[in-house]
Amino acid sequence: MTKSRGILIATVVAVGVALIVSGPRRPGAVATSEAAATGNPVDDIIQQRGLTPDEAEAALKTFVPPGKYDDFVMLTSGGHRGTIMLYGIPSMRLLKEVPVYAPDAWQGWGQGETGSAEVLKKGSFGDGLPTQTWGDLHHPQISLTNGKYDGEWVIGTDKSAGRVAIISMRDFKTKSIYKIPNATSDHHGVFTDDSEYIIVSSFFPMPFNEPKGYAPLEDYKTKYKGSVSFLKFDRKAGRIVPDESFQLELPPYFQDLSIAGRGPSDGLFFINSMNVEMATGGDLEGKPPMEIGASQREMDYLHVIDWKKAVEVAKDPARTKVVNGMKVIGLPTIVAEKLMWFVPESKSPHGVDLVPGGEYVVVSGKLDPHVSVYSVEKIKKAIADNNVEGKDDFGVPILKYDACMEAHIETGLGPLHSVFDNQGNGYTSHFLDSTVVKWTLGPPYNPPDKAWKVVDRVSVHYNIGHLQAPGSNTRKPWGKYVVALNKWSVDRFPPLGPLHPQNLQLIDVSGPKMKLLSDTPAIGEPHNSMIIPVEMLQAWTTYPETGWDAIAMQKSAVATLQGKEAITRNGNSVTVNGTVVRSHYTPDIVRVKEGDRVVFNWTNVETARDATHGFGLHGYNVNLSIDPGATETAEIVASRAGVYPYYCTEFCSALHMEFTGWLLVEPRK
Amino acid sequence: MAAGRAAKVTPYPEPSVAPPPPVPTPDRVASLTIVAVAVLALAMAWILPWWVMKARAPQYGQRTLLILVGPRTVDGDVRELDMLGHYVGIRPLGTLARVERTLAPLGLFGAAAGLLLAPWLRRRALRLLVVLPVLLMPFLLLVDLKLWMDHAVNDRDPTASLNLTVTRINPKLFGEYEVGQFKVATELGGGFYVGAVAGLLGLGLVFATPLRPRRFGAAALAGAGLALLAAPPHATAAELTAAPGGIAQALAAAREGDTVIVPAGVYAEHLVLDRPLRLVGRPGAVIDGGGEGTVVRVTAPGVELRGLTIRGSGISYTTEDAGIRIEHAAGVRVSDVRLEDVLFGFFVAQGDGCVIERSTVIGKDLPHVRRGDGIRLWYSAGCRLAGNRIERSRDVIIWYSAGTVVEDNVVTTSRYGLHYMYSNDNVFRRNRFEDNQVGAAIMYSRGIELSENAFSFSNGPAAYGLLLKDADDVFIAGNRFLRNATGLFFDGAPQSRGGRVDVHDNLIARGDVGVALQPLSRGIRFWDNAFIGNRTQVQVLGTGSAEDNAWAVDGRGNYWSDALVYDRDGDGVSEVPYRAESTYEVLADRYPTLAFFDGTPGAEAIDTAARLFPIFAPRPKLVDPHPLARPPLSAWTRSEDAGGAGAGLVVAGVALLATAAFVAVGARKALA
Repeated sequence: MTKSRGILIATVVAVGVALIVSGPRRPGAVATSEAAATGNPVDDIIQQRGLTPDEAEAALKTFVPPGKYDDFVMLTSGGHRGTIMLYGIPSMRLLKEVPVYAPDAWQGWGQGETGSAEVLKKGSFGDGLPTQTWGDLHHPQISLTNGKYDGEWVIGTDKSAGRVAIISMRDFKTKSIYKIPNATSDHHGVFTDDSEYIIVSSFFPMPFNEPKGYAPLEDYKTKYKGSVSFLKFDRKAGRIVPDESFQLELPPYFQDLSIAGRGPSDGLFFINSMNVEMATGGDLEGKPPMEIGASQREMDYLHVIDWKKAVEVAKDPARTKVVNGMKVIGLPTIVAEKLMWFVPESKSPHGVDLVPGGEYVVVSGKLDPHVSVYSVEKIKKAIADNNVEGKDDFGVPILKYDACMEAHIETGLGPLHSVFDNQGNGYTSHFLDSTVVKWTLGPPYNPPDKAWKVVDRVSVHYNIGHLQAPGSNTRKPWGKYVVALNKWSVDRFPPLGPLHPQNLQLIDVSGPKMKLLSDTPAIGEPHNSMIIPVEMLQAWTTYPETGWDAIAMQKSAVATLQGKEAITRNGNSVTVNGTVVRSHYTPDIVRVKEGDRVVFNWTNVETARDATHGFGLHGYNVNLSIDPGATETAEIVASRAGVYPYYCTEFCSALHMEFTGWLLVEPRK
Repeated sequence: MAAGRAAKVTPYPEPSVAPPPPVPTPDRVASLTIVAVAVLALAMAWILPWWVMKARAPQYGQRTLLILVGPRTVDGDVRELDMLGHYVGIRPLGTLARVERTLAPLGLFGAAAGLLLAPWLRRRALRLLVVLPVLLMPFLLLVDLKLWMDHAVNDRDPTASLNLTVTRINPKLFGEYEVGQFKVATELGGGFYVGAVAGLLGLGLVFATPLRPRRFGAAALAGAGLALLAAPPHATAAELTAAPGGIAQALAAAREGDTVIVPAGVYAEHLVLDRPLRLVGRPGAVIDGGGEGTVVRVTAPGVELRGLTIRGSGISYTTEDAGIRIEHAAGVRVSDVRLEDVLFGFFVAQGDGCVIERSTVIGKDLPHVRRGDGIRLWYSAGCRLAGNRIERSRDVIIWYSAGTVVEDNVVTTSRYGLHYMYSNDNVFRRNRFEDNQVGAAIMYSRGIELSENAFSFSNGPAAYGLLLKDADDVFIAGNRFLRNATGLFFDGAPQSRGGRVDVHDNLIARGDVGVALQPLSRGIRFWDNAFIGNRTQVQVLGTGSAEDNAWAVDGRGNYWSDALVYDRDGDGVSEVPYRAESTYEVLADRYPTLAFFDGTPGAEAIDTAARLFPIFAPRPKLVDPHPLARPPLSAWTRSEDAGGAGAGLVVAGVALLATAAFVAVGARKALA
């Protein structure tokens, strides 16, 4: 098919060329699009811009006409920018950035607004440590219903601090940040098939059982533990329910990416691990440096956890302990109750991915040029038959490698992550080769003779990390596109200083050959993303009721309607219940005394789309973004006397420049 | 068990009571005691350090780094110092003064022999001459040490990650000084003092009255001398022979330094060598692991394995089943060993200075993905892999191991002929990598010399003859890259400012692609290479250009089989620059099926047509300003297999014979 088409193209080109070379030019004689300009404006543009036919085709495929929407929206992490970015596909236009772990002045997130400040504070370590105003958000995950995206919630775990942020897809605002006890670094967290739990593995093992959470590194093997948290998700409220959550105590390996089963793998949970050597570094102390120590052995262990059974065990207080307020099933109990098995996996794996139907687990160790495919059926059989080849130091049984293995596909150098389309194909990113490789899945997706074969390969630019496809790693993939999230852009963008943007490359995978369509510079350090069809978005265009508390997702207790505005004083405390509407604040004069505590509750009483107003307060480091219908609160202590104008920071109307007010702080004698 | 101990050889005669002497009276007892004490002192000096350096720095807290230098060894915290030194470009200590350290045993032997001989010589000058070695040894060592120290700290690698702010360091032999954060104190060690005592005693012998050699004494002396000459270094150790099926038993009975001989036969055993021993197989000696676990484990330094066949490891990755596993053991030597039917061949973890030579690994008959590595070195500095043959394995992989020498090996039908990560200052010479998926992959390393290797017929899905990623100071000379999908692949090499990658005198032929360059590869210098008949001589990936690299050096470019050559002045360098820019290639990149038209008039028609009607601008790739008129001879001949070594031996042999004949003739003349 491909070959014949290629030959066809070649023949057409050759014939076309022959015609041009041989005869006088006859307009209209050349039918191919690759011919010279014929006066056709499109061809002229192509020629003027020096585009190749592929480039012209890519331009047409990615162009979204004015006023029309993209087909998909990609939610991409901002890495240590602590945000989630929304891009449209295929245009790759940046649509929005959602602040999560770091303050954002535009959206008033953590910028003097009390609700968001409280979210950031609650989501910090506490215990005398400062409020954390950054986070390292790697892998956004969309909530699932029946194993499919439901467009309701997004979570983003924090690799820097062991936290989970929950963002509503109704308004794309962060609702809560939960600091997980006994977890210090959460590289990755996922929803179960029906979003019953958010399961988060902790990357760095910690001595969390020890007094004050401390033990010397010399006691690493005995006192440090890994953990995986099963956080009960109240999907209505969009909150984690700590009382119904629990953890498994794990050996001190680095538990990394994970995936919850579905279909035949329903009830199982898979986690990649690293550093089963339990190396702790010590390069200046005469020991092998960390990364050397962690790459001594041949294999790491894929953790296979019977999580539904773990839920039952966790209900029994006799079989759990409470550590730092969290219910924990200890490692000996895990072994005794047969809650976990290991399967050897290639060293230092990155991705653990599950095919749409849940039949195969796909792992790639970056040092092995193969993608390893494990059969869930075989893993279950090995468990049932107790087909083990040993135990680790902690007594966890290790299933026989060959008994669980379905296929090895030699794809290229440095394979990292795999995604799936709706045509029975997998796509794997290759960091060393800088390629995306397409390969076929086995039965039931393809007949055995067409199974597990590499079918195509495309170069990407450069050093790809993750890649993503619409609905991959769910029951319902949509295919069509793959986005390569490249770590380095090197020379793909004009020189803009030594910090280069990363490069998001859109690849068309709808045909038999993958086609690279476009380069898009990324803001921050994107790691992974989720791609959802635009029609699945159910976001509000304005808040459903006037006086909405965006964090609590309900009507605010301090909502103010027009005509009810008031300034009330109670001792040294002044409360301003005001409204904003084009183009004025009510009240537009607030008089207080030096040292007063002043609370501003502003309600945007507009119902028009896009009529967001700001509250930028000079001197007190406050900027609110008050969306139509929202009530936002800022609290200050008027510690310094003076005159402080406030004004609307979001251009809204013809009289926007006049949209101002005065805070008068009268000196005390 | 049929084991017997050889008698110990006594190297000097027992003192006996002398008859009343004439004048001057030689004091036999005194002289011989002096000799005995001096030899003993020398032996002690051999074990003790001669010079000690103590270094302290804030990051080490209370700890003091110690470097102990002896005539043969550098001990102590060498690894730390090497690691620190590496950052500023100081070479590993283990690589310094190799010649001196190799010659040291000879020097010691000479010194001891001189002491033994001295009391019997009648002429004082002769006596002085024979004790001179023992007298001078301590001072020679200090002078040599000083020279090497100056060399090591001042002749630094200019491309190291850190530049020391001081350009010249003056290390002191004695006393205290500071380098950076380090406070260094140096002093003489016990070995020096004891050695000096031996020297002084030797001086005493010079002035003592010579002994009269009696017939018995002379015979004993001659015998002792001969025995010393003939005996191997382990002459004092015992030799045991293993009973059938009882190597482990023989090992248990052996003492440190003993040799255990394994007679022919099949031994179904798993062995652990946890003391410094020699295990020597007679032809036909086979150790069979029966398909279970690792067959031979070495956990003690200085173990030697020779002449064995080891087969039948298990197949578990979890336990990393290997033929031979060397772990936390330095200076292990394996020679002439054959490993068959093993998952991993040699698994070396923290085995500094190990030597694996003239050995064979034939892996299990499993698909590539299920095999283990033929040789795996992990965190083992200063090892030598020479003359080995690896078949049907996965990789020869070298990780975090500096100062490795890999030469004269043959790796075939494996995955990566050589896979090489985070390992600096290594040499690869005269190896042959054939029919592997990737010939050699070198990543994240610096200071690599690749010469006279052959990388051929690489055939995997990413089939590179040689892949270089993020590497600096790589010197690729005189290699052959034949019929690989891609001959050489460069990505991020050189990666550092000032990092060098030189490619010269190589033959790069008959591949789909000769050289592929990712855009981060800039500053590579190519000259005197022969690019012959590669479908694409040079491929540029991404949006880069090959022009950031030098295609000629000092007026000499490369030979291109597709170049138009015009060499009017006959100097072998064409006056017409070679330009690579091909529309057909641009098209073929896009439509791989066009490869069908390769080399046909069709392809040329496309190129010609494109030049006439530039639908796509042809992508200029590179210009070689001085292409060679003929392929340089060196590219063809330098990497011929094995021939070089054989010829060398013949030359050396002839020279030796000639010398011997010359000496014999001279001696006859003198006698006549």
